[in-house]
Amino acid sequence: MIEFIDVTFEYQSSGGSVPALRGVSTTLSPGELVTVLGPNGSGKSTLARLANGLLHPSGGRVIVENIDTGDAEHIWDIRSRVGLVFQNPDNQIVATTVVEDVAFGPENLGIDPPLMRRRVARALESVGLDGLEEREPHTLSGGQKQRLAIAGTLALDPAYLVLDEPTAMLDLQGRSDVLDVLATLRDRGTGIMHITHHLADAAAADRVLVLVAGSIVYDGVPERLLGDEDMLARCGLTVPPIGRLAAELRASGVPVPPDALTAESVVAGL
Amino acid sequence: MTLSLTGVDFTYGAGTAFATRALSDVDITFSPGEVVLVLGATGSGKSTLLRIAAGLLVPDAGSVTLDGRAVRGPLAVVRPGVGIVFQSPEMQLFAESVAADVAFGPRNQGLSEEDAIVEARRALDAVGLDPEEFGPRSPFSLSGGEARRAAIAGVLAMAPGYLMLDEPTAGLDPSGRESVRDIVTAARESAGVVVVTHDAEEFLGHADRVVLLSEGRIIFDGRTEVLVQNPGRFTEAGLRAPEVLRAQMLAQDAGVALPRFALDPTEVASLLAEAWSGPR
Ligand SMILES: Nc1ncnc2c1ncn2[C@@H]1O[C@H](COP(=O)(O)OP(=O)(O)O)[C@@H](O)[C@H]1O
Ligand SMILES: Nc1ncnc2c1ncn2[C@@H]1O[C@H](COP(=O)(O)OP(=O)(O)O)[C@@H](O)[C@H]1O
Ligand SMILES: [Mg+2]
Ligand SMILES: [Mg+2]
Repeated sequence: MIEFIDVTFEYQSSGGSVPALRGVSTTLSPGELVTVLGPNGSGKSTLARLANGLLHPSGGRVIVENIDTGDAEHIWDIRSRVGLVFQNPDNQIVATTVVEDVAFGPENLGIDPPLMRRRVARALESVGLDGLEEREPHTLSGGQKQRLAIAGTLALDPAYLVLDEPTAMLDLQGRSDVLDVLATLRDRGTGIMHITHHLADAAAADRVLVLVAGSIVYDGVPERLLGDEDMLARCGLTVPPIGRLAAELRASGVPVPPDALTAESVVAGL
Repeated sequence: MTLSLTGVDFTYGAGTAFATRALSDVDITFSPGEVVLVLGATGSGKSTLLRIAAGLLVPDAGSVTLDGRAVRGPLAVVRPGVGIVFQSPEMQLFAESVAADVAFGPRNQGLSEEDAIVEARRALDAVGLDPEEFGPRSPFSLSGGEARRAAIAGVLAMAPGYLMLDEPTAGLDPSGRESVRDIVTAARESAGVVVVTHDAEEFLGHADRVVLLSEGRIIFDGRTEVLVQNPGRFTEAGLRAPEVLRAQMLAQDAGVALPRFALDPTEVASLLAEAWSGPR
């Protein structure tokens, strides 16, 4: 389990200190998919970087499977257990071909070649980049690069995966492909923290966390959040058109569940 | 002032082992006052199409013409030319103040310092950033949404006859996305607007026309309403139709007889509710 215990974080900049998180407590368990929502600047990326010890809390503690991320001796342990996928995939590309890029992480960990090849192939297949093994990463389009970054992290076989807006550059199909990958990994026991701006992504989550100005304003099941318009407004979240359609159908007596945010779940009520 | 691409082919790394065909035989015409949405799966050639239309890449075959004249070189430097807002444009903000950053483009176009300042103020106003408040600030002190708007202002300050935007709302929160969408659609008052996006849902209701790209070829170019009535075209382009349209497609597949398709959730709800209760 990853535990955030009363975590505060301040960035130090020339203009003084910038509070990014104010007393955040939450957890991420194996086999759990947690969606994190919140406006720009609410502290989501900071939370992600704290999860694997890239940043250390200014106050409070972050514990990964009983190891404090502040414990310098175990930092590589923590980094190999918690895989991070960042917002901008360009900064994460290291090699000159797709397959080498994905193999870079496991190679560095000294994993033996046959196992590594299997992992790399599986990682590429699960993000739909199989067939592009020999391409130069810089020739990929934005969306393809984003999936490459996810594959690179998957190849390390982390117990937890923290993704910071991994689908920001993907089309609807690509986004849904990635969501499917996340759901599959969750079912295999990976604990997943998925930071996103898409409310609809929350419907597939076990738990939803909403950050506003560095504080958690919601931590619970998606159904309750998605069915509560006042809460959504307070969280600065907008209901997508499919959610408005679901609400209108409900109002006219069609039995559509309150957390219906996909075409399938809306049509199931008809 | 029409902007036309005729018979355009483009290959990256032509002649090398890694040659990648990005566009094939593309014919397209843009007109002032129109908002055109360019949709396509990742890798379908959307960004390449924008770069060619803006004169940043030269086609291998075919031609680009502005007002019937062949285009050579970047079109941002002419007034009124073709301005392009790249993906994550805020990464390119560089000056010590927002005002100086936005004035850079018009200065580069040969405007005097005073005229460039006037243009910069006008552009900041247009994107909803008060020039008094935001002008003197460092670009690096802006929030994600503000920085994106400042970057768009930098292009608007060049008074483009065509405004091309590559994924303008990607990575922004809902309120940031809404304000960028409003800026982009308002720009049709002074320019032809071309938006490349993977989020069809966001702009579909605001576009006059949609172009679908698939593997470097245009497979649809028509009024938004025509596409809405033929949502199968999304699938042909390797895309998913927006959820509201997909719900209607699924309902129809399940035997619900719909007289037509719609985008507006209220309208769709009444169409679906009617068809649902109707035949029984
Ligand atoms: N490197 C940094 N230096 C100074 N302030 C920062 C830095 N990174 C983020 N911040 C500030 O910390 C707050 C939280 O930022 P962040 O975690 O990136 O939010 P989000 O990911 O939700 O947009 C914001 O006010 C942001 O401006
Ligand atoms: N700089 C580049 N060098 C080589 N190939 C590229 C480059 N940019 C894009 N490509 C390739 O050209 C094709 C079209 O890419 P692009 O126009 O970026 O598509 P889109 O914007 O629709 O995702 C893709 O196959 C992509 O991999
Ligand atoms: Mg962030
Ligand atoms: Mg692109």
